Amino acid sequence: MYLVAAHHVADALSLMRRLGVLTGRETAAGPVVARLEQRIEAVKTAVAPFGRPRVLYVLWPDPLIVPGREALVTELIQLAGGQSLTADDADAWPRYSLEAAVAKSPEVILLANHGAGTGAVSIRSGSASPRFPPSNPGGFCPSAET
Amino acid sequence: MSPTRRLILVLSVLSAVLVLAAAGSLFLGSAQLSPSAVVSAVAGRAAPESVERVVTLSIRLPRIAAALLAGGALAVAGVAFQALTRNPLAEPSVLGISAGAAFGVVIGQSFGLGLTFRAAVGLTAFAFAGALLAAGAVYLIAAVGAGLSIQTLLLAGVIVGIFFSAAITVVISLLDFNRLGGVVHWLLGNLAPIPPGALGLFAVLSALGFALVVTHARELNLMALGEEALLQLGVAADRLKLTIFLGAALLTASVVAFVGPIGFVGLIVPHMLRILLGSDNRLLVPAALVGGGIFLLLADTLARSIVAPAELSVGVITSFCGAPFFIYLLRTPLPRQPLMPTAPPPGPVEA
Repeated sequence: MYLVAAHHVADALSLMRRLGVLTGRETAAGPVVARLEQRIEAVKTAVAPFGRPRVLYVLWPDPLIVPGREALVTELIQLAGGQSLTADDADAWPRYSLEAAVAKSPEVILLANHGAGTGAVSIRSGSASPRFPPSNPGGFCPSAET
Repeated sequence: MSPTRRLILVLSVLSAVLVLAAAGSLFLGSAQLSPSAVVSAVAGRAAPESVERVVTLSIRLPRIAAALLAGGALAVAGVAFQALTRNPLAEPSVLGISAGAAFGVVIGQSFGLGLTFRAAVGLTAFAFAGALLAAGAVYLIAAVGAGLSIQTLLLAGVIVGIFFSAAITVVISLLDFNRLGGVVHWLLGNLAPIPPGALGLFAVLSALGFALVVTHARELNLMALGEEALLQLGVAADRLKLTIFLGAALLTASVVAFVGPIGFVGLIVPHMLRILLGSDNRLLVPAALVGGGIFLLLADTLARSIVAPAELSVGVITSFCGAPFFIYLLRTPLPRQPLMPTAPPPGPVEA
């Protein structure tokens, strides 16, 4: 059994190399990691001329769970040219209140869909402030496509 | 002072407290809005999509409305169940009725009910059916021999509550993973903003349940004297009990359907008001409506401010208050908590 916990992109790349060693596919893992590193650099170069939009990533809407400093997603948002609004929280996945999230004025909201079959994430983009989907009676979370 | 003047005075004072609490709650929360920003939003001077407008009018205001409705409904249901069972410890969660309603909601949600106005009607119907089922089960278990003893009724309520909680766990275990987080949050009491249509439905159902109870407040006083006394005074006891029961069950089901099973409000508020006002249900029922709203609003304001930027479920706060209060009542001799007025209510009683 081999347990993993990648909190940063460097951890994930290192993990891939390690998995290559563990599975005897070290020569195959190397190029995969190299390609990923190239793509990361390409994205960083591509987004460099633009401003950083304020991004709210929603792992779970009710209760609202967002990525903090120790979440891999926070670094991914940074690398992709965004600015995660909840990056200052020391926890990896802290709970947030709806109004605290609104008060940070996100310009882009990414809703994780947890395998709902609509792609990696559902994307909602707004101008100045978000219009969150209201909680439905009974309190169950709305679907990721909302 | 006449009962009517006393009622007006009490409701005036409580209403003033309610307005102050609601206004204060509008200014408090994890979003650090300045008082002038909140005032600007309330006055309609804020830009349509500004943070202060969204937070104040779309998040805090609906939440305050939901807290007032739910708190009032639960407190009135508590008064009704206490009078109905002649048991000072009776209230929706202690009697297992909230758990039954919650089971109904979970079943309704498993059929996809939830967000829209029509779906909310269906969801409340499921909650009402669950509440009736739980209350029937409690009555059948507890009604052994001549009457309902306090201890037997409470134990029956605990048993039924545990049963329905287990049933909810079974349904949750079978539900899609995407819904699990919402269910768990809602089961602790979730006053997150409700869509306007559903909030209106919540208000209508709560008003209906309240009307069923408050229009029989005088008879509730007589109920404390026993069923024979009711019959001697020309009151149809069975019809009265059914009406009160349906009203209290409707109030409980509405709250559970829209904000979850919040415990102990129906215990704390009626007893606090009895200490202040006495046990005349003609005074107590309307006072509980306002007092319950105040209590739950204060609890929710605390819940959404104390661990900012996160927030607690409001049921956590009411349980922290309610559990010690329940123990206090359990250890207090009954004569110190009269459930009937010291003198019979004046005037004729309608059958």
